[in-house]
Amino acid sequence: MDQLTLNNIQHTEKLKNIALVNQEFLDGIEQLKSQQRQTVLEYRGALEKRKIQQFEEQLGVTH
Amino acid sequence: MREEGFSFEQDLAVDDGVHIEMPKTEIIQNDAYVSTYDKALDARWKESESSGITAPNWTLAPISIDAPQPEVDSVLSSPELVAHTEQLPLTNEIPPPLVGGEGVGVVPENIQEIEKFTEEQVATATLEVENFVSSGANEVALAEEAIALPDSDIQEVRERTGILGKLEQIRNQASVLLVKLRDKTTEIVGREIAALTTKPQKKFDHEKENEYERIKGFIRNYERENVAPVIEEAKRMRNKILEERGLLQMSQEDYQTYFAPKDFEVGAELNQGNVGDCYAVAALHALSCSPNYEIICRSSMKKLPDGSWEVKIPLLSENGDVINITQEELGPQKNAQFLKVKEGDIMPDLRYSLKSLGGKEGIRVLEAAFIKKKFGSVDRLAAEGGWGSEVLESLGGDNFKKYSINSNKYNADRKTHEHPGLVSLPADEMAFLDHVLENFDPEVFIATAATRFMDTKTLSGQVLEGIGVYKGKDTMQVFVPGHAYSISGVDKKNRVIKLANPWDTTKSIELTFDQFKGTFGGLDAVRIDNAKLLSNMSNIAKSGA
Repeated sequence: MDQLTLNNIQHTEKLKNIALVNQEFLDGIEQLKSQQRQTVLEYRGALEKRKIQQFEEQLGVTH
Repeated sequence: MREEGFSFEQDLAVDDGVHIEMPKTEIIQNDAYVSTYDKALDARWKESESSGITAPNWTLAPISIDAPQPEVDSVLSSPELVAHTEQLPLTNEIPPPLVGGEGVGVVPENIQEIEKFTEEQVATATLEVENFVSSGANEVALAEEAIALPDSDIQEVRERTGILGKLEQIRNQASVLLVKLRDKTTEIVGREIAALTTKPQKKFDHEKENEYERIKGFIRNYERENVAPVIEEAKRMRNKILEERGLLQMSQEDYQTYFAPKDFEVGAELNQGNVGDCYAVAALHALSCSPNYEIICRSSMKKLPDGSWEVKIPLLSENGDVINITQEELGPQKNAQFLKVKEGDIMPDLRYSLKSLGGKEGIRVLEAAFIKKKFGSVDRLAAEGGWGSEVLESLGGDNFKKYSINSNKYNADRKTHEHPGLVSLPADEMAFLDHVLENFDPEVFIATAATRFMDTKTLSGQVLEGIGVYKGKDTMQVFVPGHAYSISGVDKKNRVIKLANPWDTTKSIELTFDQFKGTFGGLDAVRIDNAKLLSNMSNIAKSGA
């Protein structure tokens, strides 16, 4: 193995370490995105529920 | 009301018009994390309820909550959003580059590349977080718009679900991730820079130590291979400049005529003649094997039209003594000791005349110049017996530094001198000898070696009867006792030394390091002080300019 290859390998290793750290971050963000989507869906569900409730009130539906 | 058993998944599934496809809940799989997370979330909800946070007034293109990813991406990268996110205050500013700014010092290209890579990663990540965070608020606004409830109702649902608090919680977590990313990448870059700017710690792991040594050796060889042509080129340029400015006294043509060996590897073709100055012949031969030989001779020696020579000693010095050598002095001279018997000898001196060494005229001039410098005249008889380094020191002045190691010692009990050979050197001297041999660089060293003295009284049987030579250690080659040999080169890879007998320097003698140590009794060398040599050259150039 010549020195250039050795340098390149070492250098690539360093970049790989940084990329791994970045991957950790991306995984975390993916989780949060999913969480946010879930939260928004829950909120939307609550809004829907309120809407249904409103309709029921207007129509005088009783349970 | 179906408050208790409400499952919005089921309800929404049958709700016309606003069907929402539920994503799989893949967020949290770890139970421990769920409970911790839930507790934290509860706390945040309570906080957010009293914080009165309101959703920003988004003016972005509406997007369905279940829009495919490409559509989402296109909105996320829309100019409006980008413009908006640019205005947003960053929770953590991107740290400035660690080093490499103007005047901070030179940072290797690789580090700069790593820094650039890191900065790009962090910048991309920051944008990612900003986009993601704003998308949450955006989706809330879209949901509210789609459901179209009165404001009071929306406010009520907001408060009940604590949606804004939840979103802020997610936003904070994203910020934490971003900070972590920055810290870790900064740490990696910092470590790389520290590794370059601080001394490497001594490692005690032998395996790693070996690996370190192996790589170090590899790099050293690699550098040597790469540097060699550069040095060669530099020398060529230096010589060219000296020549162009007329600072060399001797023309290239004269050098070829009077000095240049046919084969550089072999050095000058010499034979000692009938004077006992083997040390001088060996030293001159070793000098002729030096890459500096030509420039030394050409800068300090000149043949005059009448056939005599001017030699400036020390060679290559600014203000040396000029020694004149005439053609007569180069010729044979009458032996004053002819037919006389020296004290302790049996045979009379049978030499009628004393001849200079056999070889090209330039080298014969150097031999004569050395003798004249030392004894005031070219008295060949007086020059019999000496040390190689003495000749070189005499000719080279302070351009050369003596390096000599000798195994001879005086035995006080027997009252005799003993010559056990280099193999008997004490450990520290042996280490030094090994170091010189293993790193022998013709650019730096000019060396001669002396064989062991063989006294027939103490070493009877070792000197071959009637021939006056002895067999070398572990080799069939024979050597002359008490004789100087020149070292014309060292094959470091195979640990072989190339020597030449001044009786005939065209024949190369090869010995391994061990054979050499067993056969020879001393190494008599000079080390070229390259710094001095260069400064002398530069002074000569200045005075000539």
